[in-house]
Amino acid sequence: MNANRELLRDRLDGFGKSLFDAADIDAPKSGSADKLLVALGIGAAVTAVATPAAAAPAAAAAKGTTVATMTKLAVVLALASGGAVAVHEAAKHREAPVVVATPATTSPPPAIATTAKAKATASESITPVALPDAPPEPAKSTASAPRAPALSEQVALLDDARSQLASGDATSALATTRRFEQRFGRNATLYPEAMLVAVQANLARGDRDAARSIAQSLEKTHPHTPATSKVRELVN
Amino acid sequence: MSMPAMTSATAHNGTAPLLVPRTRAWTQAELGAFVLQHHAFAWRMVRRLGVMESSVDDAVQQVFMVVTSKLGGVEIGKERSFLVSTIIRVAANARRAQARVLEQPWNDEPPEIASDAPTPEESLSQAQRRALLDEVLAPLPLEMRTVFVLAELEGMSAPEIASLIETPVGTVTSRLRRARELVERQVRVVRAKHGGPS
Repeated sequence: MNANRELLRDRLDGFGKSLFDAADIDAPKSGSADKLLVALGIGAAVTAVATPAAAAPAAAAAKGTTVATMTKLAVVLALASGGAVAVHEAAKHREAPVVVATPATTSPPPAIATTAKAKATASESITPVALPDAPPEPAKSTASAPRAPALSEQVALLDDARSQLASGDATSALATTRRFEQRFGRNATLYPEAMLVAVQANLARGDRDAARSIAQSLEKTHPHTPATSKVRELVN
Repeated sequence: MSMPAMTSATAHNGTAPLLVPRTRAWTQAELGAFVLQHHAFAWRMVRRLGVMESSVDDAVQQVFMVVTSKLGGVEIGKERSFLVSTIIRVAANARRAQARVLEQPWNDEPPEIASDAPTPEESLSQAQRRALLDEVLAPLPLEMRTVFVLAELEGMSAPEIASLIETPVGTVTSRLRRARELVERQVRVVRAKHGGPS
């Protein structure tokens, strides 16, 4: 809270103040940060904490942790990768701490200063996704349309496809995206991201017609997603 | 931002300046941490800059697609400025897209308020209040709205905003003063329009 803000609200009546109060408690839906990380293709980097070497953080994550906690986990990973990380306070802005990381150029151990008092709200809490050792959900057999599958299953398959593509195995990546489509259907949360990988895989194999066909289909079913925009750029 | 940010420095012999890159590579884990730390801030900014609620998640994803792909070329210490400038650009694009499909651009449908309601303060849901806030902020030009939102809703000081959006403090102060006047007037207009006592 600063003087500017107090000055404005001082001038507003109860009605005006209430509009700003409503905005104060507006926040993204729980779990949207998870989905974003996955859509960006960096969910695995954060969820990679669920390895034997990081059993304790993984256990914390499995219980459902906060952004601030996950930040610390990511900081640990950053340190492990050789970066010197300083976390400094950004609490004035109701913001989680800003991480400023610089490459490790000298031998001394990195300094970490954690003075932030991040106000992680319930809506900012995140649920770990794609834990490699998480038990698979029991199969649900229904004759009707498939029920919304757990996001973690979609994440796992999408990560597989991306890894295969990144390693140059476009054929396997394509097969994985087909499996994704068959298993989760076109209404799946990460369907556009999966189709983006499918398009990239087809282009990597030189099959531009197949890529364009997927792109056209995606335009019809999901015309306004960022993944669709990316697909559009790739095929045009 | 295709080239890394550079800064000049003096060579060891003291004669010729050297260009020293002040950027760095980001690991996936660091990118993940950056996204997690700024996700809620980006979401609020995109929303308060006038992107419809139904489009906010997509716009935020656009923001971080750009930011995470380009952070390696951003000067160290300017990461948050780059994030904010990306948010402003993406929000502006989203608003233009909304304007193409909506008769009233970048406004969610304002709630109907019965004139015999006790008072607006008592009868409105939080969602309705936010829709009314959109209506209050809608007339503000984007650069003015950005300063206003950062100051009044994110609680930043004028110097902080000036640094963040790389604009002189005087300009920020001036925009903020004008924005406040407009908002104060617009609150009265919206209140009267929707049946509340003036």
